[in-house]
Amino acid sequence: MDQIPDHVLIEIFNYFGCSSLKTLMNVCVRWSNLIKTSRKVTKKFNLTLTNSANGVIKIDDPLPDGSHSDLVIISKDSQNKSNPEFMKVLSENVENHKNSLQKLNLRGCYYVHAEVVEQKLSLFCDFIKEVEITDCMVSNNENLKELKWRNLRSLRIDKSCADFMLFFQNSQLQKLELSSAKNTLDTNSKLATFWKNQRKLKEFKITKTEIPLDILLDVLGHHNLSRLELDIKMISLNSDLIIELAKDSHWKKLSFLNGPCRDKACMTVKNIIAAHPCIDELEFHKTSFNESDFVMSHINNHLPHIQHLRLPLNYGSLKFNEVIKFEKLEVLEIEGIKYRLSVQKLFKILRMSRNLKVLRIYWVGHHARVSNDFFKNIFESLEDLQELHIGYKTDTFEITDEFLDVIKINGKNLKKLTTYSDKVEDLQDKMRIFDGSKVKCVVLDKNYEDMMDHKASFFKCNEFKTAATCVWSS
Amino acid sequence: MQTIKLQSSDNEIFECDLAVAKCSATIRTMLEDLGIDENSEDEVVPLPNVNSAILRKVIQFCTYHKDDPVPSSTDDDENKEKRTDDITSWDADFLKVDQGTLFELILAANYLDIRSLLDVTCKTVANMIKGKTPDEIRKTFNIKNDFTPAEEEQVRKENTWCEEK
Repeated sequence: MDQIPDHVLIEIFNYFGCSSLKTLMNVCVRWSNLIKTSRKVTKKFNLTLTNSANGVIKIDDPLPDGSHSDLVIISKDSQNKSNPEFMKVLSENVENHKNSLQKLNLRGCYYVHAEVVEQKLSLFCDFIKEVEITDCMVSNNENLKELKWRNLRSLRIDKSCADFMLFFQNSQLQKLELSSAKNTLDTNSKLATFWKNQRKLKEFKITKTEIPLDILLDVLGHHNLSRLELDIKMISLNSDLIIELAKDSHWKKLSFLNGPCRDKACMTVKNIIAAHPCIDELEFHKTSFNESDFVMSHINNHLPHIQHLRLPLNYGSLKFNEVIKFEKLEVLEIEGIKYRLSVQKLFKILRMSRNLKVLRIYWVGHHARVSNDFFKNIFESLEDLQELHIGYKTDTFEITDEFLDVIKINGKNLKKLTTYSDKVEDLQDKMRIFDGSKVKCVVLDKNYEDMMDHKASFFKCNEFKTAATCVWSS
Repeated sequence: MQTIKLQSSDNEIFECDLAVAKCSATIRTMLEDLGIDENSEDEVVPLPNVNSAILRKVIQFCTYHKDDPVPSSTDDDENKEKRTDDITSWDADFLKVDQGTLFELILAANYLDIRSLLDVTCKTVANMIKGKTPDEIRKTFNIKNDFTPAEEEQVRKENTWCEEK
């Protein structure tokens, strides 16, 4: 047992729940220490306090010494008054666990801030490594400004009115994620200094958030970022300066998210791509271009080594006649194919991407008339294909025996097939065809909500209407 | 079928299918990154951390599992409650070995980076731990109780506290 490395032992511990883990801690010093310190295990020992209409709900799974590493505070009181009982429980618990807390998770705390969080945060903010704030108001008062988040590494703010400046005072933030953060960013010019001082920040993600131009420029000019995810709406603010600042950074992965990409934004996207030949992963999520040919041309000419590409519904028109050069492409994701012509466009890429291992098409319109020959052709073009994801079709799509035969006979190296059906259960017998082969099948229920979390969320997502209008009016 | 030669720590040479050897991410990386020529007949991949008895078992495991799909990232979702009762009968039979061998298999799976073997061996150990008291666990795995009397007292207190709950 002594020879077993720590990380393997932790994996073994991970099979146990809180009460068993407490027993295991009594076995020996090494086990005890591993369980107390491994994040993978300690996050099971969390304390959840919920302030609901029916009173305070406390779910408490502490370590044997009564401590926790995660504190989850959920408040459902949308009224502008506080619940004294909740305040009392919260206050007591925060006090008790201040030394062990690693992650603070605030959800729906509209009013908590005023009385408890502000007073109690100072007790433990020094230890916290991770903060997640969802649906909250965190006021920008003087007490909060004094807090020192010396160990904070990761901060995520979603649908909240919280001044993120409050959290990086003296912190070593490495990862920052802002989503729907309406009033978060337009505070003042202090933000500019954020980027100058946050040399350790490696990952930045921002979605559904208005961001002032000068701040965006600072973000783009931040040379230590290795991963950047940007909302397309923000870069509609075109500026030569953006390009200028962005050109010395070394992003490996770049994602553009949400929304139509017109004229100036389109130009900016193109220029950012052109300035970053080292990008090997490029993603467009629910984005539509009005100059898709030019964008494609830029990807084609400036990113010859691209390995992972996710394209929106309209990527390049039929007039696009350049020779596609994606020779190193291994993963190709396409949000949808709508018409017969979309199929032709797709094959144009596939013909040149002989090394493709993963092909995911998230949505297939019935006008595309995807037939069994389509799949035969795919496997003929792509001998190494290991994973095929074929999205839901809008008409009554049935997984026929013929379809499965084509996959089985032609997909010589296929290891995973993902597809959709109305009646997942009825398919079990049909899927037996793959028994004994190396193909693993995943059939997603098109009505199943969880599927929406999957990247296949395209056709049901809120943005779809906007995107579709843009695509087909241009 | 393309084959490859693997050399154990006690210098025994095993010839096995390339596809089987490639179940090991370590061997895969060696072949791909270090540019060991797959076609060259005489090339031998040395595995100084695995003895012949264990390597034989590992090859047996990988031969049986070589066509299994590679688990995707969604499969090891951390939030999902992990099960230990889903070991297949073949795997269970394969792992009917003494504890020393089981641990050596874990070490080999770790060194060779064979996810499926590591998972199933860890599960087996978890099952051996399940339902036992700390004392029984120590006995089973020959672990020394290295808590100081003071710590022991603390542990005792905490245990009482747990039971009260």
